[in-house]
Amino acid sequence: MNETNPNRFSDDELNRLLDELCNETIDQESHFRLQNILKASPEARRQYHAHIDLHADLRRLQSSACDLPADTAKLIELINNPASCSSAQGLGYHVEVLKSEQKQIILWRRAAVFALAATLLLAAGISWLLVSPNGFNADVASLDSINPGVTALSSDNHAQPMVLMTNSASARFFGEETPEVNSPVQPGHEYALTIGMVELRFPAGATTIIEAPAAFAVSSSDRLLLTVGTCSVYAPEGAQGFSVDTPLANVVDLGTRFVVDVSQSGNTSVQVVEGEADVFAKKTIAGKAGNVEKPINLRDHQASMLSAQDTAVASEIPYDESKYARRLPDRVIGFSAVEDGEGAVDELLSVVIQRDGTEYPYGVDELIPGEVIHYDGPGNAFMTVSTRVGIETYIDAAARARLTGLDRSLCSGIINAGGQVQPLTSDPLFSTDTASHAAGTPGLGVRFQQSVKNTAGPDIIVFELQNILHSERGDPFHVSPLKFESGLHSYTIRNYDIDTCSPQSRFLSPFFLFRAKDDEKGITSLHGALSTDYYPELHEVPAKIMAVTIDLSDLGYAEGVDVDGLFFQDAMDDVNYFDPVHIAGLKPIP
Amino acid sequence: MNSPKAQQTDYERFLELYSRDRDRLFGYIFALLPHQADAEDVFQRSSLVLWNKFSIYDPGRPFLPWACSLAHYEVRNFVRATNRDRLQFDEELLEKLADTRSNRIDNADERLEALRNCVQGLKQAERDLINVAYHGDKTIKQYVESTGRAAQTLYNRISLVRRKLLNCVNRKLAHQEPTL
Repeated sequence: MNETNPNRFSDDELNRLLDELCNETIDQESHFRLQNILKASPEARRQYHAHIDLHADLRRLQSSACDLPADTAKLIELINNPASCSSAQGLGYHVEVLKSEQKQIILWRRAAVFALAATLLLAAGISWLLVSPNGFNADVASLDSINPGVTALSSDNHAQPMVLMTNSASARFFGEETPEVNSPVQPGHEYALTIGMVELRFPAGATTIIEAPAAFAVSSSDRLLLTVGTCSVYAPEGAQGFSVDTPLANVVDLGTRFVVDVSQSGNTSVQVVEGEADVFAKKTIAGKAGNVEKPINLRDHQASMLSAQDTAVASEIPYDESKYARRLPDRVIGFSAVEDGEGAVDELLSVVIQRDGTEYPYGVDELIPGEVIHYDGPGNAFMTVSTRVGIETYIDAAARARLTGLDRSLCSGIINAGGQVQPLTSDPLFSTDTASHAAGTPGLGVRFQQSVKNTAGPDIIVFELQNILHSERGDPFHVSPLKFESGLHSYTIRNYDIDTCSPQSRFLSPFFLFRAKDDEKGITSLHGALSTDYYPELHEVPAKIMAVTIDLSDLGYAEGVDVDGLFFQDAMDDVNYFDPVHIAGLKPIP
Repeated sequence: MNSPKAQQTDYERFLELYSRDRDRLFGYIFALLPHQADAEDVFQRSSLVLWNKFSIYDPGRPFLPWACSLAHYEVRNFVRATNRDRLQFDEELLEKLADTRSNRIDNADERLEALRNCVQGLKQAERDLINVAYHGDKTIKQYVESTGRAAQTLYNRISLVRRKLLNCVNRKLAHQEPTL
């Protein structure tokens, strides 16, 4: 070992040691020397932190803003490959690659993420992990010691037909990326669903819809272990015998639709919507069977709950069909766009949207584009323009007004829309007076090229551009009527159907960011001529595209009503603003 | 036991705090355990410990120092369990590094933004080098070895660019420009 006086070292020596440490090439002797220097010198420790922070930040800079996976291998993969959280190479996606003007077009037919107003709930997964007797590595088999009724995983699981995750809506898992649609479910793996919903399809035809927060594992080709959460089961003819294990019960299907709900404390309720199911109570940890010695047979519209103190106690509960999920929510299923050579996207080509339970594909020509009629933003950056198109296209105000719909570019838009914490309760004030800078309502007013009729399910689609260093969940925004009438109100969108960590989200092609040379409001730049007071700069931080749908009924519009336009405002939840790049209406369902 | 609603509020609160500070927490752990894979391992363990102990967290006090104090224990446990296999700092130095760390935690976002700007200011070749060194599937060492080129030359170049960036970040920190 180097026993040199640790108080005597040069900057060069310290830099060399720190470089070796960062490069992971440091040997034992140098490590010992570095340790002694750091112990002896506060200044060396300051330099150490500066080097280490830079080293970590360089990794962080290269990574996406997606959740840090708990799994080390996945974390490394994510850090080293930011695109991995949005990979288009999913097992189950129908990906059709076309060639057009030497650009690849990827057409997404199936994908899914929905963002209900679901709150971010991590607990189910974590508490499952934490209560597991073996800590981090607890597996399904470990539950068997507590609940002998649970089927242990057999070693030949891999030989069994696959269980598939056939759909997902806004699904986010703790410690791992959201699996691609139609990818196989790993047998025995505990999935902790923190947000959203997933649909699993079992080989014999049974389907289950699991709602977050939930912890579950597929224990065999016809058996699901549900530790916590809600699972709606549909077992058609041929799938009878499918069962759901919970900490307190084994629910066996006899050809039916039923829903099983397991609370955080393990209480299990079962509601049979159609058909018949048997509920077998298990012995509790205390080993007592309570009042449940025979299976409980439930039929149409019957419900029962097993609760655990030190014995399993069954009791009848009121039937509540609303617990049963027949399908995943309406949402943006996916979209297709022109892809550049780097795999990033720009021009929108089509979208697939679930409306009233049915998937509808729309070519971009079938959408009703929105045109900007008012803008009031908070700062000097007000517009993005795709480098593909070029900034000269948007010199005149009329062209800029088309950026949020007619232009089709997902990289171009009127961004940084202003807002307010409380949504509007009265008509927004428009300002188009470029000379006076008269104050208008902060936000973005949009009029549709033709009116949008409120029909069942979503009626409007909004794409937002999101800098990957900002929230991966996007910028919440209010949407309001242009003119308030009786029964109409604002509505706040806090969750996107496709956010930056969704499998469908894509990086955007390069674009310019337009700034004012001073902090002048963007209103003048939008409606007036574009002068030399404004300048473009290439936006260097990668950005991704997100999408969400709006149901006009959520604003109080009656079904069948025609809506000419809407007003959008940032919800002012943080320092970043709403950045819409494409807003369009959907034609009525045929 | 808390009611389900109270539990849900706890979950929301935990996630809000955890999501906000997770990068800073990882930075803290990485400073004590400057090895990517080890730091990730401890970060994972610490995250679960934080949730497990969240019921005793005092909401009147800042979350990050509390999280770092728990992570510090996890680092120490990890070092004790693995010190025969790895080159790691001893407990005395861990304590000193943890003490001098606290002042640097709060400016993590500004630092990253400054670094982003500094990277853009690099010459193209320098930027490319940093991109591949930090953006591939490999560690820097693995990347260098995979190139088949003179290893020390590449290490020296990476080190020089890093030093250049460090000087740039220090200069930039006081002058942040607005972004989207």
